[in-house]
Amino acid sequence: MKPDESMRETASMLDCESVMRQLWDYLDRQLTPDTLVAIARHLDDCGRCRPHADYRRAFETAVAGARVDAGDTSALSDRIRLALRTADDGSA
Amino acid sequence: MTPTDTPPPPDDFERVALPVVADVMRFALSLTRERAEAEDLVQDTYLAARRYWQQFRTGSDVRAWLFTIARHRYYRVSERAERQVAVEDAGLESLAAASIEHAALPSLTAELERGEMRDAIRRAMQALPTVYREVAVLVDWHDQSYETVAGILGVPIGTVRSRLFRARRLLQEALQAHAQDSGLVGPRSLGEERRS
Repeated sequence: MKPDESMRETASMLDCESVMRQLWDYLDRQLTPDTLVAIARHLDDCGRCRPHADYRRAFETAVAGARVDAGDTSALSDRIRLALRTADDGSA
Repeated sequence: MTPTDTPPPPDDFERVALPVVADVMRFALSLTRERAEAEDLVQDTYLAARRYWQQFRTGSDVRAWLFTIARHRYYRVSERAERQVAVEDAGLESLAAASIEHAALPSLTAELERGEMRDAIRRAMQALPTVYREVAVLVDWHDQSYETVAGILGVPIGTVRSRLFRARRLLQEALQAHAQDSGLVGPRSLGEERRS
């Protein structure tokens, strides 16, 4: 059996419950390369699981896009430098 | 760069650590939720980090190292280490999140892709219990790997995974409630999710 055929067989053996259970790990790239490919192929073929993957991907993107900005930290950097100098002077 | 056993040059602290002060500030804000307190925490973190500088391994991730110190300082100074019971079954969390009614997924996905839920997401993130919020912030806002977060928190990687899934589940519930309350999606399509 060719490697590609073997992979297709693995993908076809993944049931929906298994895919849903591993979906966050899949989106976060926390799985082995073989499992990532197998799940990707399952999602290509499965109209039941794919909308969940699309939704979670959009969710992750939206959450990442909402990250809080630290604002201007130049004054904070100056404050830290001064505190480090003061600590140096105190220990000298 | 691969971490080495070589301690960094003593004079390198400011050159290496200060460029990531904005990242440390963002992480501190996620812990304290209040700017003045976050700035105090960041300063305290840098003073402590400089004292421990010889323990830093050249080539390792200085952000993760500073996050670890910041988190310890936050809990030590505030004496508010939360002893919340975290749901640790990632499998259950993953399946529960799949209980959204199939028909509601396209409209929810479209709303998220429109990018107009930023404020709702921030509010939901800030409302998370700290034990979940710190994991979600580190993974989703600071792009830290599960393994690095496990090191920062001093917990097994499975605990990171289950807390992250729980955090996302809570965030999703909050966003779905927001979408429904704003009339962005109908209550019927979310009925399954809201009951669970």
